[in-house]
Amino acid sequence: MWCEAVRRRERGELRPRRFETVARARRTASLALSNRKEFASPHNGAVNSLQIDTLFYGFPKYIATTYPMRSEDWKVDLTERRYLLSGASDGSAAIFDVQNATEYEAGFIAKHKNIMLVDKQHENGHKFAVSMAIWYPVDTGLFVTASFDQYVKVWDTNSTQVVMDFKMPGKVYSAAMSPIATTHMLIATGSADVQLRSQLGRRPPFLESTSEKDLMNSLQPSASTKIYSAQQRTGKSKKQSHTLHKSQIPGHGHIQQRLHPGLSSSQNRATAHYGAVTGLRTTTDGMYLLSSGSDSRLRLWDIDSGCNTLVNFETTRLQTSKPLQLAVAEDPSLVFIPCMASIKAYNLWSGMTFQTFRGHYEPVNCCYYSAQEQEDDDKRLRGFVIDEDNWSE
Amino acid sequence: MLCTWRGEVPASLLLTSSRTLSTLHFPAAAETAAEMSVWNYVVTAHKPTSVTHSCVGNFTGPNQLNLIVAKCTRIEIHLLTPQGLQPMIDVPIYGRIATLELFRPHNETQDFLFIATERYKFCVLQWDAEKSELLTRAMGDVSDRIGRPTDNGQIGIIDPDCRLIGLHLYDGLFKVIPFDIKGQLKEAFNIRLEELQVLDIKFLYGCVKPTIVVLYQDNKDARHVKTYEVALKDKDFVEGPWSQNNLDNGAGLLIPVPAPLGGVIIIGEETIVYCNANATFRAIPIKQSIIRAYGRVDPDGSRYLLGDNTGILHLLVLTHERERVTGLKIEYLGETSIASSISYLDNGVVYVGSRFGDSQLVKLNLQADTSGSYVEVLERYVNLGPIVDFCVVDLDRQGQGQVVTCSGAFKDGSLRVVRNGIGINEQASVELQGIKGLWSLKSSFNDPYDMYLVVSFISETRFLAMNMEDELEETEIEGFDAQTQTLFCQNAISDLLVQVTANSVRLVSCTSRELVDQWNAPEGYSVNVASANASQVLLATGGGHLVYLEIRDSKLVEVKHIQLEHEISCVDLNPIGENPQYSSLAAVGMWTDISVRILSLPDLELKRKETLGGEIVPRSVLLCTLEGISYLLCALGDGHLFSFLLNASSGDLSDRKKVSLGTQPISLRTFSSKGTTHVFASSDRPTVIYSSNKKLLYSNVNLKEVNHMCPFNTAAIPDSLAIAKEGELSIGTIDDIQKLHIRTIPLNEQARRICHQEQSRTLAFCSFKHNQTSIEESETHFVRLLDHQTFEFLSIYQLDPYEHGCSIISCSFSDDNNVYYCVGTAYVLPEENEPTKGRILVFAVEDGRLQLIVEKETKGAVYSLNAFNGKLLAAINQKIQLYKWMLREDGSHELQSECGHHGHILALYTQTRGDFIVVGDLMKSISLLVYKHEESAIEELARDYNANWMSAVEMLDDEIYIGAENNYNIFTVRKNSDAATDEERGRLEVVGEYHLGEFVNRLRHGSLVMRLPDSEMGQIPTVIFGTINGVIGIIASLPHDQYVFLEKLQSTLVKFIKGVGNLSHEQWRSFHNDKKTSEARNFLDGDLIESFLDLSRSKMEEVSKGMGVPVEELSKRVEELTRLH
Repeated sequence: MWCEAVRRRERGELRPRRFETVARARRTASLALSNRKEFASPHNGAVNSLQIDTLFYGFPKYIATTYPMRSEDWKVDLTERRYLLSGASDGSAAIFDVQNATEYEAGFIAKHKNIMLVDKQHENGHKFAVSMAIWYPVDTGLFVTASFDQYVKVWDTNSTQVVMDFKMPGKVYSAAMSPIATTHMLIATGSADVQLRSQLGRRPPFLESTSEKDLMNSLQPSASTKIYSAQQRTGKSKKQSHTLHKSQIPGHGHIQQRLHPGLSSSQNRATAHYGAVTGLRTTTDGMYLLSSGSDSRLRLWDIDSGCNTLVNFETTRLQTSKPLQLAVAEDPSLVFIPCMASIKAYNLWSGMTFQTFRGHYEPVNCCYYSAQEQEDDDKRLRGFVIDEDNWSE
Repeated sequence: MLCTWRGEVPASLLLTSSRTLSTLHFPAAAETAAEMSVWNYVVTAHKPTSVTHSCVGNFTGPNQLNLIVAKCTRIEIHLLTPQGLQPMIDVPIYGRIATLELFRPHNETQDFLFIATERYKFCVLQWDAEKSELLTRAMGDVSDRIGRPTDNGQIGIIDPDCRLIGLHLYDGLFKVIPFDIKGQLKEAFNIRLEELQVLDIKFLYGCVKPTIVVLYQDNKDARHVKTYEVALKDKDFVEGPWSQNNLDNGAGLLIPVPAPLGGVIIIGEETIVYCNANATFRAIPIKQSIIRAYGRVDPDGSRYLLGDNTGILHLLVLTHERERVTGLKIEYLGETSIASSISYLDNGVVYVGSRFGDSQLVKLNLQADTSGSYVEVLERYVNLGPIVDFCVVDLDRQGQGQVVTCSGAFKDGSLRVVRNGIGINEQASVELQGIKGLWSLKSSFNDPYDMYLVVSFISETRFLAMNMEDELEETEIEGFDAQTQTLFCQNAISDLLVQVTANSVRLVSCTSRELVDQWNAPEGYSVNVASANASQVLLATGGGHLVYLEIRDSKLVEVKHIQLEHEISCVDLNPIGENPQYSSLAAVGMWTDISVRILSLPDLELKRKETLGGEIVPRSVLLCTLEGISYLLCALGDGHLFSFLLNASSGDLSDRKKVSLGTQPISLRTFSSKGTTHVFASSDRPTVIYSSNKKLLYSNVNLKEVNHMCPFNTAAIPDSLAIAKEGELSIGTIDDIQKLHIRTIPLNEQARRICHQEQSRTLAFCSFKHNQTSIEESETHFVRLLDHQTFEFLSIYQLDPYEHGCSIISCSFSDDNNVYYCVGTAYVLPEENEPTKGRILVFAVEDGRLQLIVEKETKGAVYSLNAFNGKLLAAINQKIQLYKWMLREDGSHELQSECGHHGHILALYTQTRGDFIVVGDLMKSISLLVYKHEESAIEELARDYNANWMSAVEMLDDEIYIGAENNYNIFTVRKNSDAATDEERGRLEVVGEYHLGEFVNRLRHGSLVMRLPDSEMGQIPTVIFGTINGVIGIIASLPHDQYVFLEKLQSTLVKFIKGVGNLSHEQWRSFHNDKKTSEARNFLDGDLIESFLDLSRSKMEEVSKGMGVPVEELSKRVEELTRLH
């Protein structure tokens, strides 16, 4: 009850934090597919990855110390959650402005067309499917794509040119950059290379070439250096973050054998996935890890102890052959799972289905939760449901 | 003949009825030539008063009992004395206090204070008895990079055996800070807590291993308690000795019971349960109530005080046989303010801290009074919090606002009238032209009360006296010269009266009223100025002659006569030494060389000469002692005042300061109020000069112009003052001498929105009352009308059932000269998630009654209303809607929808200026809209894309807007109207950020102080804000050069003024929310800057060295700033 909540907040009865939580929960609960927003996809294949830029806010201070620069340089970019980056199986990547629609249909349906597209026609475009597309965490001047063509490419957003690429020994399934690292500028990748994979348990799959480091810095002087995200979320030892990262590489049956060193005990209890791990997501508070497997199961892991929390998620059917991108509400009370042609929202603690969103005709690969972008009660979906037809396998 | 004044004053003499509102319009801040700027100075005018925590212990000494009170960002330490609570120290904390606990480490004789702040800092404080200040024993940061901050409030607890401190700051984590054997804190670690929705955690008493009891809620909203032992070595929990499932659904508070009983009391809404490790389980039902505060009465823990949400105080008794609890008993004690903390002091005296009303000191009596209450309120401590809304009322049209706040909640709701300066409440007045001087005289020297009032005119002197019936009537004092102007009058020793006129000094007996002795001025000279005390007379005649007389054996003896080189403009010999009847110093002000001189008495030797500079002659000098410090005050003819510290024995002057009080000549006079001496400066801006913390403070008086004043302390009205104004003599009492004066109008219901209508001389506000019957709880909402001066209730309009008043404004419409009150409402139905229906009600005030003129239904809650271009702008749920005022054929009016704007989540706050509209959204920060006249449409121009959850907005000027948000920050944004691209023009650029640490409910233009148009400070526009904790603050927009100077001063001061507990000022003021933390910019902390004036002289000098600016210059500039509030 908005009126009541505002009234209780203004007299100090309802703590501001609690007010936010209540408001968010209420909005999450009234989530529905947006009727007023459409993204026209330029992709000819399935969308494999979605990300809205979430610039890390703490960095200006770092810049001030390490890279003296005028404040105007970063001010303009200090907007967040504005651009949606998508990578698709046709080897293309596109960027959408989620705040300003390109046109309005019938007066109120906001149509969002891509404002940038790199596909196979592009001279440096990926030849095969883009498995992951991520924003450079500092600003939207760069983004990184990883592809099955064994390349990881770094793009300049404004000129839509590849500023550097890395050849990996195998198919690249995943890539990540840390939004908070202060000492390096590394891209973590997960690829199908056997050698690398065998090291995954112990060593981070970083490309630790010095040349890369230098290049990155010279490319983007506004950049601060970062450790990578899993570590930020857990705040724990490196070992854990490596294992976390490693597990972001989906799709290989034998990985389940050492999904997580901390999970070995739980495996003995036979609670781990039977089959490949297809998707992973940490909760926003960094306390839990959610995994989906080709066994159509969801598991919630306590990161600190590595134990399965034994939350029994209601049975569903998950795609087995493709990596899935999961999403968690920021409470974290709800988790969003692409379940074939629909998206299911589960209560994270009870495992009960909270809601099912239908709107796609073919299996959904990825979803993204954006808390800020809620214009009306029913609009939160815009981040994850995009032009239906192109979300196909 | 002149005036008779009986207990009842004739209506014609009542001042209030004779005052009219002048049409002269003093420019409001928004209209002044000076624009607001992005360089803002934030200062607190009224400190937080809502009490969040309190505790009792031996903090300042092993045998001293202290009450420590936390008021969100401040702590106060009181000492319990037989006379009552004596304040010892009141200090700011750089953080919002989340936990306040006293504890005593092993081998210590007194307690330490543990404070944790909401931004994850903690410190341990100890009292330094030698320096009388707080000493930091330990401090640190307990933030984690993982974890979700808890919504239910941070919990901080200390093991009763002092083995560890436990903190619950993030859901699912329990942080432990262990003590080592010496009582030092060791490194903290986290333990995972399975329970995510924790409601309360406490340590149990008498456990071998530290044991916590956790009250939590599960996924199905059932509540349980569980115990854990903390295994310090393993850094983990061990399942505890017991647990209790499925408690009262409203269980929310745990009270651990000290050994030997042990165990815990669980307070629910319907039951109170006691359990312990021996599986003892005792429960009693209670009348449904929410208990939020408890205080332990006995050290053995057999009695507790419980305070509930309706302000009822209960006593909970654990009956026990030896160490076994046999039952629970609850008794009604009485009613207090709604308690947020209860601290049992001693001898049945209890401190009740409140967030919703005034805090109280109460005594619990053994016998109930006639109403069945055992509670007797000994003292009330004013609390303005929560200030939900306020309006600025400028009654006298002098540019000085008084703020009327909607304060308090539930039954403790009230309106508070907050005024800067000191009020004089006139009791009687009479028209009297041409008063040249006023003195009061006693009937005998030792009489405590004044009897006569001497009123001097240009060619006569009249005498008024109190008669037996306490009436004031004209009388005669035969020995006095009534045919000429009196220059000075005074009671003297041996029951004599002294009158100084231009020709003579007369000594008259009090009893016979006959002349006893007389001193005549030399032929050809007349006395110009004179002063006297009980035994001395000093007078100056033309030609620079200064004559000193003493009263010896009822005779006037001329002791000394000197001639100075210039004419004398003023003299004073008020005794400041040990002898109150004899002064050894005299002060003399001079024409020509514009100096003030200190002469010794009786030999009239020059001790010190201070040249004042400039061309303005000193018109009044005064020697006085305030708070044990002697001062020389010297007032000039142009309204400036010099103050000097005076060495009473050597006559040396130091610490010269100059302030501007007004524009006309000032005359100075001492008076006393409640046993303390103060100085009254009469001028066009009358001011009371008083001393607080050994510092001179200036507070204006709510009178327009005072020519003369004298204290007139009568038995009928003690401590009253006689005041001569232009054409009027009045007698009035004076408020307590303090900077802000607060008047309370209790409502017994909560006011939510208030506004002022000058034309009808009324205030209107929306309020509501909780009606609790045994079956159901309901609310009744009203619109009430008050007189803006007497605060008398005039009219009331009751809203429909379920209808809430959400907004109120006073406005007028185009083509209609009437002024209306517009009220926006919402129908809040229990089954609806969001209101779908509301109303806009337009009232006119007719004969002091609210008359409903027009009502218009809306499709949602009307969260905000604004007068806009002769129309009415309403914020209704997600929409901004503009209504025009249409005349129907039958002559009545209606509101007709003209245009609107969609695109907000909830448009909660709106402000307008010209054609521009600023909207504060529930969660999408500030956006700027514009109304286009030609197209009759509202369009969005720009918005701030940050995700700020707003709590208030205001437009500082056309370009710069200020907002307050949910995480206690304030920020300014600027319109990028000159930007090159549409994209940039569509963004509001964030130009200033600051962590206020207070939740702001309202920002409004206005000023609490009178603005002198000619002073520099008079040009600085200000915005007032009000917060949940009862803070009234000022945001002043400074010119850039001043901002730069003060910024430097602030950064210098940060180095010299260490925060309590070594907490960092920079971190505290940095803008902080879930997403980012960034340094404060374009805001200055006025509280820190103004604390410069509290520094010792040596520290001031260090700061001055650091700044490269002399101390005097620094003090002057900072003092100027203090006059902003």
